[in-house]
Amino acid sequence: MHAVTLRHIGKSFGSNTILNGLSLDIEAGDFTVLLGSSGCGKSTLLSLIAGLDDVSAGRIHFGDRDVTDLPPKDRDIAMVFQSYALYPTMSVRDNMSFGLRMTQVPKNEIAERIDWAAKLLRLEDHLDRKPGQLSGGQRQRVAIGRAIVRKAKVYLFDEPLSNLDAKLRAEMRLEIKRLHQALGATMIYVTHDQVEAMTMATKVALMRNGQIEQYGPPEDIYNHPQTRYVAEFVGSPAVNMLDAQLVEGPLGTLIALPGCDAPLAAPKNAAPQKVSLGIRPEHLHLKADTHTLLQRQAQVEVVEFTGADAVVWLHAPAGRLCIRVPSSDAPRTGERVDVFVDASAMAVFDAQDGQRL
Amino acid sequence: MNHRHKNRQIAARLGLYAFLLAAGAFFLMPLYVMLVTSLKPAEEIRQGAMLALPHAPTLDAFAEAWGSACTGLDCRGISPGFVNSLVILVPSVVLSILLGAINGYALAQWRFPGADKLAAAITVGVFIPVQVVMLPMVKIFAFVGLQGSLISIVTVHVVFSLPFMALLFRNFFASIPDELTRAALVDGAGFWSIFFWIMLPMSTNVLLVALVLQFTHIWNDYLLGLIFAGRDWKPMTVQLNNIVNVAEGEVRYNVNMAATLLTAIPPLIVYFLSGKYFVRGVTAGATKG
Repeated sequence: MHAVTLRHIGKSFGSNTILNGLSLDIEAGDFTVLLGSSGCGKSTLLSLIAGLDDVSAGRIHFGDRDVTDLPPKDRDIAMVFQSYALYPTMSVRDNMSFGLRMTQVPKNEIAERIDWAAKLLRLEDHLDRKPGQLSGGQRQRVAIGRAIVRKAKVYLFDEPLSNLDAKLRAEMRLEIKRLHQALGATMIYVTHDQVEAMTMATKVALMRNGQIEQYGPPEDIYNHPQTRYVAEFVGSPAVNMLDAQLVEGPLGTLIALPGCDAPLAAPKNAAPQKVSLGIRPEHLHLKADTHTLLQRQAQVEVVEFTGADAVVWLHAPAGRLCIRVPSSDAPRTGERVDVFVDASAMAVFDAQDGQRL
Repeated sequence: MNHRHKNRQIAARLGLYAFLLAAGAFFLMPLYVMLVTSLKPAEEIRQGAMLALPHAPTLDAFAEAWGSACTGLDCRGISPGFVNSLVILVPSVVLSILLGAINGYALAQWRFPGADKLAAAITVGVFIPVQVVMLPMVKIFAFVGLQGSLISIVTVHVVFSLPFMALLFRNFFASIPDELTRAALVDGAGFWSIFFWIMLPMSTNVLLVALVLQFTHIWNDYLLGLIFAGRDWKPMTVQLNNIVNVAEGEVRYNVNMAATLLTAIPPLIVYFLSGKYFVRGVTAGATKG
């Protein structure tokens, strides 16, 4: 039984189609991140799940209950908004208890749940303040508190960290992740930030043009991207994408790449065609070991020191390459180096439609 | 150099204050004349020195204006009018503000189909002169048998105020981000609970603006009161006119001035009490604060 089942969801505003036949199954207890660039329909999808907007087509089930036509209050959800949307005239306590009061929860239980949430989110000292007297991080915690006291079936987050500075964002990321583990609740989280998605999610649904491009655990999304778009969207620095050609040879189909004379095996059953070769920076090396020679005599253009690692930008015959190496192994600018690849970690995409071969 | 600059600044300041004082005196002159006249006994007025201070100031004129001045055969002063005005004012102000706020909230925060067109129609309503619909209104009230009653005058005040009140509140509520309404919807609140628990508590400034506008507007109304209130519910302004505009006999300036001052006092009190909030509220919509 899935906690949330989306079937053929469509949504248009006038003649503008945002979602077109999207389907997704979300397991109970999952932390699912809807990831995508702005305008991909992820926030719209969240509004539809919340019931704040009506679907144009398709059905939404929570468990075995069809909630498509139910208003938000009957869906047993709680939501955290991007702007926090705290009620400005109410104290923190009243903000958090508002939803409980609206649904006639007994008074002593309200007090109990507020205490529990305040302790969990370290808000005990601020319960009688107004939102205007709180810092950004505290407001964010109140917004989360207002959601968790509801003990809802599904928790929805709409880019809740985008208004915080970098340090606070990292803290809150950890806090929300901890909260998810403590509550074991089903959470759906919208963001355009791939770092947030990768660090927090148990499942990532990467969206593009109102469709789900790939859905799976973050490791899968990162290590086994099914399309060129997915490969390029996640990872920082971005994946190296090289233009290459599949050619028929005496040893079977091989990848022909400018500046590369080693035989690179093409995926099985691939016909000769133009392809894009996706290689993550950490899968390129400056030492041979067990790796395959990819490019000879690439010139070091820039070395970026990032701490434990250094990111090295190379000018190679096949194009610009980016390599992540331990800082101690970093070459000097202007030096010429040979580049080796971990061939098993390469991804080959159809140059036309971007699908993985 | 610096010194001369400073001198010129002081001169400019003095000029400015001189102008402001002159303008203030100009505007306050009528009020001054009213005040001193109302405090003079009749003989002093007859001497004709309009600007002179009273030699023997007395509140007799006020007492008479309030309690014993005659309009026709009725010699109870304007105090019955004061009571009438209050009885008309309270329900008219409360209802027009409440209905205006609900209207504005519905138009701004519930984006139902046609909301913008309806708002445009209401804007047109603001510019329809009262005089145009006066006769039809009288006919309608006469038809349902309510012409010249408390209900008709209150209804007329509420109906004629509603477009402007609705627009005032719509503009205020439009500045409130709709994520607030969405959050409240998720929290299980409905149309009314969002209005009373979240929107109204945020509206103190605009409520005060509406209160001042409606209070002065309805209190100072003469025409509607004359036409719709009927014989039993003549507001203070109508009664004042009946006292002041006597066709024969001596004109009793001190009593007239006292009656006029008494009539003008309630809106003045409201202004003094809420002036600070009034200015703040008028600009509140513009700066979103």
